[in-house]
Amino acid sequence: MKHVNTSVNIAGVTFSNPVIAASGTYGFGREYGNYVDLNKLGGISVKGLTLLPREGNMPPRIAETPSGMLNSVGLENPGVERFISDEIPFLSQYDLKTIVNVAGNSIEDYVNMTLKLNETSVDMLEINLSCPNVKHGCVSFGVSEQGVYEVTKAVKEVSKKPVIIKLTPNVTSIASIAYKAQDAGADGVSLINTITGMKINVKTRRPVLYNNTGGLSGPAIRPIAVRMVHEVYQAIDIPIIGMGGITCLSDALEFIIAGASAVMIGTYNFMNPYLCEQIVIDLIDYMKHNNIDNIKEMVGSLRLNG
Amino acid sequence: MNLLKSKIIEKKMLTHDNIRLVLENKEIAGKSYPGVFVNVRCCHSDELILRRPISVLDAYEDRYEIVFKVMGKGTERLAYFETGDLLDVLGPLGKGFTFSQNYRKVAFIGGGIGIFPVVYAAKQFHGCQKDFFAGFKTKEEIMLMESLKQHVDHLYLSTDDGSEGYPGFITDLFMEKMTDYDMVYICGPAVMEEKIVKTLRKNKIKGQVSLEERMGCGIGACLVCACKTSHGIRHVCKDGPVFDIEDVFIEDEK
Ligand SMILES: Cc1cc2nc3c(=O)[nH]c(=O)nc-3n(C[C@H](O)[C@H](O)[C@H](O)COP(=O)(O)OP(=O)(O)OC[C@H]3O[C@@H](n4cnc5c(N)ncnc54)[C@H](O)[C@@H]3O)c2cc1C
Ligand SMILES: Cc1cc2nc3c(=O)[nH]c(=O)nc-3n(C[C@H](O)[C@H](O)[C@H](O)COP(=O)(O)O)c2cc1C
Ligand code: FES
Repeated sequence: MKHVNTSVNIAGVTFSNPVIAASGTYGFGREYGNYVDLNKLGGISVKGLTLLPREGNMPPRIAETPSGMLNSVGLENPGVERFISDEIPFLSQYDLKTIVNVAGNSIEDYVNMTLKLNETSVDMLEINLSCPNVKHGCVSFGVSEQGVYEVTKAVKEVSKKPVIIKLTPNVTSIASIAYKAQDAGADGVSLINTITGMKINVKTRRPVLYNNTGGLSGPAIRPIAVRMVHEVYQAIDIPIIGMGGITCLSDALEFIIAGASAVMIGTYNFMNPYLCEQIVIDLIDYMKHNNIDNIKEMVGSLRLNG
Repeated sequence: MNLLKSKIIEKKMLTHDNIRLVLENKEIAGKSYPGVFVNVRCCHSDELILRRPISVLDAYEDRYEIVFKVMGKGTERLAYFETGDLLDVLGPLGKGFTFSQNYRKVAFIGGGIGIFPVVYAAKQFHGCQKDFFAGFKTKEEIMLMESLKQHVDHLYLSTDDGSEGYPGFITDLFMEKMTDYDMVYICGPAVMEEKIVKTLRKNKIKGQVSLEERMGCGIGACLVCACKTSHGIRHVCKDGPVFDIEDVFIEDEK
């Protein structure tokens, strides 16, 4: 049997394949470990962490919408210290790379968390400048070029780990924001986080989510996400991790062809808990059948019309 | 992915909008017990991207049963599946009811679509006095009671409109009949559950209650199904749906 090379290198970290579980949809890997062999995934981006534990928002935190869903979890998490003591030992048993999704209220928070994570075995930091469900920090940095620049710069100054910046789609030009992240020294970017949305219960005339608004994810956002990866790929030179509504290998390939070096799989894991591993299997088959020796050949291989 | 396939062996309308399915899947049947649920894919296109949680009503050999009420888009689609079709079902999930041989007298309280897990419990748990309290909106919605009779010592029935049994809420009937139960099993609308839970706590009677919350993953990873408990935030799909009554409905009662 022919051997195909699915491995990708992002900012010095080698992932055995480009399939990574998306932050907030896969917990810390434990639950999905009952369905997939975590060793088979390229990596996992863990639930967004904050300096101190957070309870998150009041329920309802989820509403289904056509081909998608809104969530307003609000960064419920055990805090970075408990992650370090309780979850890193679990994740270190596996081959997959661990990306830590870091969410802060302030630049100091991002810096302090980075300092704590420096001393651990995690592989990469994904700076969350895009969570729409919290009052302070995160997306309020992510929507301005200056905010992205300042946080990225501050984190890069202290980080011993490669740093990627997770971008929000809730901006006029995601390409200019990505460029600022690169300018400030980011090692890569990941996109897209959720798109802010609202669902209203007509009977009660109230939003379905207790938090009123939430983040839209799932197949509904995929075309927007693919377009954004395409725009960002043209604007920057650092690697891109693409995501938004991936349900199968073909969806993942859209992102890779548009310019993503790797992909993250989020919401659709809920429908199919075997999905991440399935995409890896399908990718290997696909490469064999199409005589693609190295997945890198496909990254950014888009041929525009006209 | 054969693991996820359950074959529909039998389909039956229990009321005008409640459908009972007998499903075949050895693994799910083997692991089910009262209070657990399954997460059902209702439509094969990606228009609906979330599964729907439905309680297990019974399980034996390689079969298990569920009953679902047609409520909205998902259950409407689910109603189209027929005998012989394969359903994509994940489960069983969650933590269900627990029982002890030391109990002498227990009660089961179910309201509306909440009766399914307690009917399962009443059939499964034996060796003590069992009182069952079932609340329905109206006579036409009464279901599963005939076959339940042989499993319980007393069956108390209420309808909100008084068309059969005790006229009014099952909570009121329960308060009238409540005695020194060793354990009370509860599932129903949140208002009903809260009232019963607070009454039981006041009377120092033990209980287990099955909560309902909107779900995403159903396995404890996405954190959308949060509920406040006396031990902090817990997740209905993984830590529940069944909780000790000491731990829930704790707001404004300190
Ligand atoms: C642990 C558990 C066990 C359940 N057991 C049963 C059962 O045995 N029989 C039964 O008929 N129903 C049961 N339900 C309720 C059932 O899940 C909902 O009625 C169903 O999801 C409604 O889906 P829909 O698409 O038809 O309605 P819609 O209103 O169109 O649903 C839209 C979205 O809201 C969610 N949703 C709507 N209502 C509820 C609700 N009450 N609880 C949770 N999510 C909701 C749906 O999952 C979906 O994501 C159970 C719920 C839970 C949490
Ligand atoms: C329930 C839920 C929780 C999420 N939590 C986080 C989070 O903590 N940090 C983060 O950067 N992104 C979070 N996301 C966004 C996803 O990582 C991803 O960017 C987005 O959902 C788009 O991908 P998808 O359509 O495949 O889900 C969350 C998404 C969902 C659905
Ligand atoms: S539904 Fe995902 S954690 Fe409960």
